[in-house]
Amino acid sequence: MWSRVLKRFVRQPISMIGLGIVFTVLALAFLAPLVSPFDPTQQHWGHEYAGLSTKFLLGTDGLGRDVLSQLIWGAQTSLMVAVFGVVVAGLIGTFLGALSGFFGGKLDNAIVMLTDTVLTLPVFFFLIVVASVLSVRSLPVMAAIIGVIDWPMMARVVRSQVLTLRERVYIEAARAQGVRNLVILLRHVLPNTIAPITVVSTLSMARYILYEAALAFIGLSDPEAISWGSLLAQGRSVMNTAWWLTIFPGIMIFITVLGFNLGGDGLRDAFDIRLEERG
Amino acid sequence: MEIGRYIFRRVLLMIPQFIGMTILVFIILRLAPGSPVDYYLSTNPYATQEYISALEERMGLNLPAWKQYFYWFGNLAKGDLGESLSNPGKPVLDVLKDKIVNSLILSLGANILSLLIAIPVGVISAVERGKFADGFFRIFALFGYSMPSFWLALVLIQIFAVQLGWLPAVGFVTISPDSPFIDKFVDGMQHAIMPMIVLGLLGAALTSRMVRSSMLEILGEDYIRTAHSKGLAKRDVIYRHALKNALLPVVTIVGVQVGFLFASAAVTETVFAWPGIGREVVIATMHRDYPVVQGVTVIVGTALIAINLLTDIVYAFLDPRIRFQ
Repeated sequence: MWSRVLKRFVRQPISMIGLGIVFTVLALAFLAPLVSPFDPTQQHWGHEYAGLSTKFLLGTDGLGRDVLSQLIWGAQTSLMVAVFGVVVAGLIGTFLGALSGFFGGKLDNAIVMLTDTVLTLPVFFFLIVVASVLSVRSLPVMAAIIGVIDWPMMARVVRSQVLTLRERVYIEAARAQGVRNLVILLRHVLPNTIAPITVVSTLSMARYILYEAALAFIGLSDPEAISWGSLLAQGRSVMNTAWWLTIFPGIMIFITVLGFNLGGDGLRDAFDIRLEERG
Repeated sequence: MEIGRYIFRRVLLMIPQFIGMTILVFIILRLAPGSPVDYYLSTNPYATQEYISALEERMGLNLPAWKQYFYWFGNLAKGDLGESLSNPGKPVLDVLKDKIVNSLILSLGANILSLLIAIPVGVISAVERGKFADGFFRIFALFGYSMPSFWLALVLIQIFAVQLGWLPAVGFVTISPDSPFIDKFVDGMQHAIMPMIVLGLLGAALTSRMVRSSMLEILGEDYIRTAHSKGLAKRDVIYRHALKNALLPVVTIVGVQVGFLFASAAVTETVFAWPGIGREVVIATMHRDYPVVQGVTVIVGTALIAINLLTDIVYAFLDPRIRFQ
């Protein structure tokens, strides 16, 4: 199955472009100390709002900090929130989805009810509210709240996959041999949910990067972090004179999110699974 | 008769959803640092202990948490959302009333625009599956929902308001309230164009994909193949037979879209200084005006639950299969 999926994925030019973007951003994040021309927090006095030049390729901000360096380090922030967020959402969603699909009955009803209720909540709206009441807004905390609010999609996908797997003959065979439920679930059912989980995770990370950027833009993310969103917020009032502060972080967010979306879309086609859309 | 029972069951289901939502909102805002009393004390450093106790008693803060919840829920049921902290003495509902209307106007425009784009785009993509148009619109959709909407908003403002001067940058109706209605309407519409486009495009990106998959599903059905093999013109098959049924799930899609755009409006409203509840919640979080935050959250949550209910009922009317499940 995997080689067929890989072949289908590789054949699509847009998924390869997506993969390329994701790897480039990952590389930027990991190699930030090496490739960044300056320390992103270093203030170059006398160079406030400096335009594009050979020294500051993408200009500087109001405190004379190099924009390019901030963009490179900002990749770390975005990816960290996306990855931690998706791990949290994945753990909660997989746990609840697997329980619900595998055991059925009242437990299933209760979990489906909970999932549907949380699914009706406007995610970004709740993020604003939750972020506003937090006294500590460090990046792991931001990632955690995103995951805690946004797990229902994951739970649904895992549940529906488990529901179909549960009826398979090999599961019946395992059961007939007296294998315990937990072992069946962990060894025979869950490994087969990896495909849809991968697709949902990739698409979720795209959204989480947008969430973090938007929260930083309205001043509700980690104030210490170097974030594309807060750079944009800074540029908002000086767009006439220092357009580079708005344009470049925006392009960076757009391309990164696009990369994850292209990859996720390609994976969905390659695995040939259908998902319900959600905002 | 069946439909009556379905609606009854569906409404019953809404009750635990509503209660669950209010509990969640209550818990989240209880987690806020400090007590609401602090807000009053910050402006009155000479407050005595008696004054603080009296204040706490008036706000019900001396009760255990569950009693506070019931107290709050009881008021909520009477339409009393408490008092705004940043406008002392002003009920939350009064603060929000006009803003709800403004948000609804923006939402209505954005949703209509989105459907005007999404339905044709979705249908064409499905009919032309795998061809150029499909690929093109797929990229369009991917670009649409990868675009940070606040950035798009800033760029539009810079181009159309600042550089070209064609449209006003921020606000809603900015001329004198005494002006004739028609002038106010024109002024409001001019302000509304850009925020509606930003939200509408975002909605269209998402919705067009859903229309496409619902149309594809229908195109694969037997009766469509029958219609084709009868020798009907391709256009007749698509517009007479397929589209009608493909638009059924669009009812649900519209429900999803309305909710989605409502939730995403907060940042767009903020950038365009649109006086709606999304912007209000952002402002209220800055001022730590928790009763307003709580009020907006409950209103938005209730609205979304109601939209869900409404789409399910409309769907049941349109598709008899649902009622008998």
